[in-house]
Amino acid sequence: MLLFEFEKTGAFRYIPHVDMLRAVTRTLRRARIECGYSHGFNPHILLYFSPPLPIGTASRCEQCALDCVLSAEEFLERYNRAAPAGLKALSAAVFPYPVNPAAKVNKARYEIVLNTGKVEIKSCFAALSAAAREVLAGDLFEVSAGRDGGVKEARPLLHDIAVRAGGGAVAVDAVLSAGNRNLRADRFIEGLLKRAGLNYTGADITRVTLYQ
Amino acid sequence: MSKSTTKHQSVYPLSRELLLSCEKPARYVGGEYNLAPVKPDAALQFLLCFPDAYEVGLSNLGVKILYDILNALPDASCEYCFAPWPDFGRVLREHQIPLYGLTSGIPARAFGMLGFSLQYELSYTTVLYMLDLAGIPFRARERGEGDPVVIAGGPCTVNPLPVADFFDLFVIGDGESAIKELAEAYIANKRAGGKKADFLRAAAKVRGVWVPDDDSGQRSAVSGQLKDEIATRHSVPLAMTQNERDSDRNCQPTTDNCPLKIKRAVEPDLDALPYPVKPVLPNIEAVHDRAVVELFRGCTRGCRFCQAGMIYRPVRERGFDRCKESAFSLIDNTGYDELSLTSLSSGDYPRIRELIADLSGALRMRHVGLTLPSLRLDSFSGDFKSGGGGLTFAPEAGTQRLRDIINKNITEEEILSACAAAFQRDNASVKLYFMLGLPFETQEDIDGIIALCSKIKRLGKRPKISVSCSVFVPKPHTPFQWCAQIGREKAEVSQRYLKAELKRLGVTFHYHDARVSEIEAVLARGDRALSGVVEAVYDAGSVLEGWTEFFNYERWTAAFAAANVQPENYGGARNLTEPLPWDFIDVGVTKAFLKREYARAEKGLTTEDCRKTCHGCGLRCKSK
Ligand code: SF4
Repeated sequence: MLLFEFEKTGAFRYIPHVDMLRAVTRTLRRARIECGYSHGFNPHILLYFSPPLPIGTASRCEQCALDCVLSAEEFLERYNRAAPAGLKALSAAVFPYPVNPAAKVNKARYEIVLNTGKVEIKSCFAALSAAAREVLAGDLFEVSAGRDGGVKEARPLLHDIAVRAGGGAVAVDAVLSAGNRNLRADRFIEGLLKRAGLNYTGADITRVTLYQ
Repeated sequence: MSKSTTKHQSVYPLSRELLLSCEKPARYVGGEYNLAPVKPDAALQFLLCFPDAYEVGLSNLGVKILYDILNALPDASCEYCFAPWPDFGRVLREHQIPLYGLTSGIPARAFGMLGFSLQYELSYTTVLYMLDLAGIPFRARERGEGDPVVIAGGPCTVNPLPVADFFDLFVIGDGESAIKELAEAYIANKRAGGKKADFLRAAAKVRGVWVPDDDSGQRSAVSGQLKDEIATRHSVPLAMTQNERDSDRNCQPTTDNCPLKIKRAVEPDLDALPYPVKPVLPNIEAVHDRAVVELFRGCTRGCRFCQAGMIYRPVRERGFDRCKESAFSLIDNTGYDELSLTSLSSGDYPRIRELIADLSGALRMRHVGLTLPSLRLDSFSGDFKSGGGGLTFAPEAGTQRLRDIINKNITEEEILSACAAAFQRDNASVKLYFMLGLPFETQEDIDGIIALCSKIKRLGKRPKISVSCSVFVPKPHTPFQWCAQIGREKAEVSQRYLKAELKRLGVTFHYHDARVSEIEAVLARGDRALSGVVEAVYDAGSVLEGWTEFFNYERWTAAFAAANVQPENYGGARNLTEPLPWDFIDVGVTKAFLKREYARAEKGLTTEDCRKTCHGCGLRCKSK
């Protein structure tokens, strides 16, 4: 099986998983890459993706596995010639056995660049660092559970936080559970900012690494 | 006329938080595959506006054609713009972000020309919504040199009067050559340092173009030499006296002393035109998300209710090889897994079987499905698929008598045998389309729908039958243009009756909102008095009214009352001798032909497919 890693950036960060799947399928078809199809009335290309991203979160480490006889190099060359900007493949590897990134991935690292608005960077950095230390040391961390206003206990899903300042911005790197037990990076940062007593005025979130 | 988008700031990147506060933010960020590169220094910056949601707009073949033609011109650049869903419209307003071109993010008002595609009448308020979000005055005469030229095309322009006040010009008919000529005229005028009025004067010479107001604000007043030029071009007298001009502000004079006839633009040879084989792929699933090959334009069947069948005459076919080439290029360039062969009646394409045979093998190898969405019942042969899923047929009327009146030349036997053939192939689901409120309809015709369903039901082993009934709108330039629209109350009585009876039969029943058809009829058959009504309805908050959830009947009735407009005057029956507001648009079929067809309908006489016998509709296509 061939596993490739691809980006989901630019406009594509706003595209739901199902439309991203469609876009990858169309790219494979334009590239005329022969792949394994499902059987049945409406055959479709069999693709195995890493856990879906919420709309608005970018990624530089999405994974997709498929049956295909091309070498990794040839695949990359042909795929990228047909891929839209924002959905380019970054690397590929061939495995002699079946791979399914959705089943394997359990953690992900996110890079969250904050829009600190009018808050001074130094004080923002200090407040966030303190909140991060507190959250990591404690055993309770509540985040929003969605639009209905509920909350979810997230501490067990939180593995690491690092706060950085530089280049005129404050950024948070976080390792969060992904896959079946998932913590969304947007909800995590919202919770952390709240804990730090800062106003949430937006952030640029990118998934940068997937862990097994 | 000094438009260049270079000095205008893009609204991109939009804040992630604003986008995420709305449904489907992917509609608003651009970045689609196959986009033409933006040429910021091109003399003509054209914004192709579709007054409906992204998913609907990017499904439309017409705008794909125009997008390609404009972008192929070296000194023109074209982008798309769709109507924001109301949630995003609110965000734009609250944050004072102007409506923008989807590729560059440049505000719409910085474009030189805005071209609206008018596909259905209920989109009129959405046009105003988009102009409003763009910060562009609604009425052509309120717009100045610094504002874009706002133009319209699409099927609704065969009666442009209800929205005439909002546009600088209309393109009536096929858009390919007209848009190119307009773009060239715009560019030439800009290079020459001309004003907007100079461009409009030049534009008026383009076949199919109607300029409602000249620079002095006079309707259709054209002066001097130009008048003669246009007269020659359109081969009809142009002279218009002040008296005529004042005679009826809302209705164009139409009889022999007609001051102006605008001839519809007709492309004689589709193979001479470019075809969009590299369409922009929508970011999210579109309504029709598939590769599309247009087999032909026009239709020879002559159904009397069908406006498309009248206003796109004569039939012009795309060549067999061209269709095949386009099909394969489309699949190569898009990666779609479905290809649709479209036209008004795809089974009538002369080499349809050969085309299907040639395409289906090659497409199957590439895992691409083939569909023919507009298959007529009598051309169904049981060996290819129509639409998606089960079978879709449109008998349109429940009895033979009424089918003869509307000239739907289909017999009950044909309907039944097509269904029987389908059921034999395990295809046990059938969708039937009918219209309520057709001229000369009686209770027997409504009962006929039920009777037909019960006969079809007996043909298969518990077949799934679903019936969909629209409410007929008599449209301009058809033999039924003089007929009354049935009106809400009567239509609702039939709908209630059918609902109960079909339920008893186990047939699924869908029907259209009768109030929508009532308003559609008024707008389709309206005149200039309606532009104020359209504006009032928009002001009251109506947008995207093609979507059931946003249609608001009460706002229309209130606006009619406030403007002292009697909707019955528009929706009601018209006298065969009275001038009609749309008479000044010459779509090719003559009024005499329409009258003849109406008379035959009255007598229940059918008219044969004009591939066999020409009925002299006015197009003179056989003599060319
Ligand atoms: S001129 Fe004759 S053949 Fe041509 S479209 Fe009209 S009726 Fe048909």
